[in-house]
Order: sequence, then structure tokens, then C-alpha cells
Amino acid sequence: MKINKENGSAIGVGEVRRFGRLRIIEHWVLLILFLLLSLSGFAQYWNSFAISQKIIALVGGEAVIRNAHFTFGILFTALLAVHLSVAIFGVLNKKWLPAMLVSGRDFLNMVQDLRYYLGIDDKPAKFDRFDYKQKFVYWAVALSGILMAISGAILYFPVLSLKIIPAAAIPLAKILHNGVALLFLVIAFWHIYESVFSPGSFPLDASIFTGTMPIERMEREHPLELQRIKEFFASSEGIMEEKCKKEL
Amino acid sequence: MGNRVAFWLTVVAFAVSACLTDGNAEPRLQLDESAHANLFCIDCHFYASAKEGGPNNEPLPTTPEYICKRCHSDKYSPFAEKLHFMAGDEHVLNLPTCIDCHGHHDAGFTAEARRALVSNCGTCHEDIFNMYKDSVHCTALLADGNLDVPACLDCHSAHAVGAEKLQNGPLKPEAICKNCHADKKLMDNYRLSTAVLTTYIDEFHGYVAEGMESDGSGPMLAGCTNCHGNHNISATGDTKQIKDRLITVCAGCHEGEAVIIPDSWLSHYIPSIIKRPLIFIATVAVKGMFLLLTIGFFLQLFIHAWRYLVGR
Repeated sequence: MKINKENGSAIGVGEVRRFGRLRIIEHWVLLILFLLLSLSGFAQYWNSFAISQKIIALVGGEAVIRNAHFTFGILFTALLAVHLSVAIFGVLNKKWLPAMLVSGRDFLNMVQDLRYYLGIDDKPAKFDRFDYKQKFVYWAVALSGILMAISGAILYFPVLSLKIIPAAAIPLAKILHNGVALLFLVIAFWHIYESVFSPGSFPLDASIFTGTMPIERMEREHPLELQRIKEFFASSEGIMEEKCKKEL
Repeated sequence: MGNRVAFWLTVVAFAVSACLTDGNAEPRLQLDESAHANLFCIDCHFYASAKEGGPNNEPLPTTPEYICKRCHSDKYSPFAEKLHFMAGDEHVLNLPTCIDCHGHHDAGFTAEARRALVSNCGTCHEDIFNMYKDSVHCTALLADGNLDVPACLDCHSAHAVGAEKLQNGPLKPEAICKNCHADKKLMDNYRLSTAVLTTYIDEFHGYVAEGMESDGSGPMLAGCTNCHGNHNISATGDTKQIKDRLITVCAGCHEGEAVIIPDSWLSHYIPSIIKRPLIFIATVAVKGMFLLLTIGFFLQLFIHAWRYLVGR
């Protein structure tokens, strides 16, 4: 996890950096690819509707939209592969915090939150870098994305796929591709609600776009992460002093 | 004025009686039973006294279709543009004209006439008739007198028999086959599933076929007739025979793995726990997940609303 403190020039006063540039780019690419894949995919899946016919006619016909969907799918798979590789490399090699991994604490947080929302308890759960909802979205997208990529490849190259998979896998791939697409749709709506319209996040949790989050919001939404950052900063100042002393 | 009317009435009466005597009673009787009961002999047999010229005033041949066209021009026009007539233009004799299918004095199209038509077409199209003869449709038609099955005219429209469509590939298949095989009331009599059409369209070849234009243009992968045949359609009981045929059919477009491709086709079956259980379970699982997530989403909306509007 890259940690930056307020140095005045990079981020505003009272803000904490949460995401580096590459994470922001990854999210943007995911956003755009998801929109394109949804449009081109659902236009084919629900092709009996007038709006789908209009979209297909707009891009230049059935064959064009099918190839476009496949191309976006390739890009999405590449994004998936790059992200997962970087994440695994970072955690193993560069000692990044595996903040996205689900643990027992997330289930406890979920129960605590439920109690809070139902009015049983006074205070909501305290979260580290990612709360259980964000972890859910992340893993849903990652696992569904892998399923979509594999089933999509089988559907686009059915005869080639028969070299390595049994014949029954082709109708299976179709069911999975269509079904998981709908799952993706629900997850997307849920994620947009959670990040934009949810009472805790309204008007918009912009940290994935700007890379930073105001400290008050950090205290409210990710207090454990803020605490960790402060502790590290405090200890790193101590380390810096030691280093300077040594060099001097 | 009265004299004129009387004159023509006499002519008609004379002509009618002339027709009826001289051993011609039977045609009149046949005509009375037919669709043309209101016509007189001279309505068709006018050429004894009348001459109709062509565009350059040349005398027209007195073949029957020139007579029928006078009233049935809407049927004549498609006939005139199509195969049988065009070949007739080259003065090949023995090609069918109106009376070959419809008869003359007994013109009409009864159910029996439809049945007779199969052998009628078969007199010229013998090889096709031999293929059709063994098919499940023809067996029911000729042996059981079952008129629910398609005969020649049901697929090859009688007046507009199109050479170009027959030669350049199949017509949009479900446009013809679905008229019966997607009709639940009809198919229930034979315990045939009408899901054959929907399962076909659900799958890639059918999805592309749906995108075809109704005149048959556009991309075409595999339709009903590619796998089931057209004239020699057999009953679907023997799945091994169909699978063996499919291997050749699939290999026509898909090289290499043609032997196992038929196994990837669900054979028009909707997956159930008995037929293709794995696919059925996958379908249930994804639908279940979708339902679960949607419910979860709305639950969260509700709980948030509860907290912020109803709770403290």
C-alpha cells in the first residue's frame, strides 16, 4: 500500500491519499469496458427490443457488434490478468497489505452494521481499508469476470474449445455467460448505489477517481485505516530521524 | 333494345343447348359440382368465336392459362414469373399449367385433390417424390390420409415456385416449419414438443437465422432442413441415425472436430434434472444467485431507508 502524507503539492490539506495513479486508471478502464461490454452484450442478448435493434444498426450490424463485444472482452480479460498479477506480485513481493482479502471480521462487521441499521445498536462497525460491501463487490467482479472471460472465449471459439473441453461445456458456457451477465448487472447497480446514493456515501465517494479522501470522511468510513496510517507516519518519522542521524 | 336482349339470350341458350347435347352432359354435371358452378361453357370455350391478340396483335396460343387468367389474374401473375411458366416459355411440353393441378370441369381444391397432387408433382419430379415417399410426412399423408402433414404445396408455394431460392440454399426454415411445429394445438395431437423452435432460436444458429430477412437473404448457418433434411424427413425416434447424419452436416462448415460437435447440441431438449442435469443445475444456480443478489440489494435499500427515515 502506497502511503503518502500531506506534502501540500500532491494532495490538499486534510486529505489522505488512498489510491495510486495505476489503481485509478484500472478503475476507469474497468468502468468504460463494463459499459461497452454491457451495451454490446445486452443488445445481442435482448435483441428483440427496438432499442437493441437501434444500437445494432448504429454500429453497423450484427457481425460488427459481435466482434466489438469480443474485442472489449479481450481487453477486459487483459485488465483482469494485469490487475490480479500486480496485486499478487505486490502482496508477495512488495509487502503490500492484502486489504481485499475476506476474513471473519468482515462477517462480524456485517452483523454489527445490520444491528446498527435496524436500530438495535448505537454505533456502526469500524472498517479498515475496505468494508465488507466493497470486498463483496470486488470479489464478485473478479470471480464473475473470470467466469465471463472463460465462457466468452468458449462461445467465440466453440470448435477450437472442443479440443480441450467436453462437448457439453458449450451449452454450459452459454448458460453461464448469459446468467453471470445478469449478475454483473445487479452488482453494478448495487455498487453504484453504494458508492453514490447510499446515505453514507452521498453525494459520491470520489476517492477512486481522485485517489484521496478527506480526513473527516476517513474517520467516519475507514477509521482503522486512518489509524494505521497515522501510526506508520509517526513511526516513519522516527525512522527518518534515525536514518538522518546515521548519515550525518 | 328488347330485341337485342332477346337476340343474345337466344344465342346463349343455343350455345348452352349445343354444348349439352352432342354428348357433353357430363362436363356440365362436373361443372355444377365444382367451384365454377355459376359459369357457362362459353366462359372458357370462347375461342371458337373470339380471337385475342398479343401485344403485337399476334394470335395467342389457346392454352388454358390464358383462359384462367381472365378471372384469376392475381394467381396468374406469380405463376407467370416463376419456374414452371418460365420453362414453359421454351416450348417444353408436359409442364404443369392451371388445369394440371386444378382440373378443368371439376376445378376446385378439395382435400383429396391435395393428396393427389403429391403424385401429380411426382410424375415429373420422380427422384424427389421417391425421397418424399419414405418420409414421415408422406407416410402419414398417403397411408393414413393425414392432412396435417405438409405436401409439395405447403413448402413450395404453388404459383410462385421459385427456382432461385431452391438452388441457392434453404428458405428461412422456421418460416415454413414453424407453421406446424410451433402450433401447440396441432402438435399436441402428435405429442410433439413446440419447444423445438424456441430451443433452436435460443442457440447460436437459430439466433443468426432469426436475423435473416424474410426473403431468405442474409447470413444463414444451419436451419431445420440442414439437419432434418427436407424431402426425406424421418421421425426423430432414432437418435443415433440423426447423430450420424449430423456429423456430416456439421462437418460441412466446421472442420476438424465434426465427430463430437453433435454432442454439444442439446437436441431441442430443455435441460432438466433428467436430461442434461449439469446444465440444468447451472441454470438453476445462476438464476438463484441473480434472485439472491436482487433480493439482497432491495433489502439493503430497505434497511438504509429504515435507519434514516424510521429509526433515530
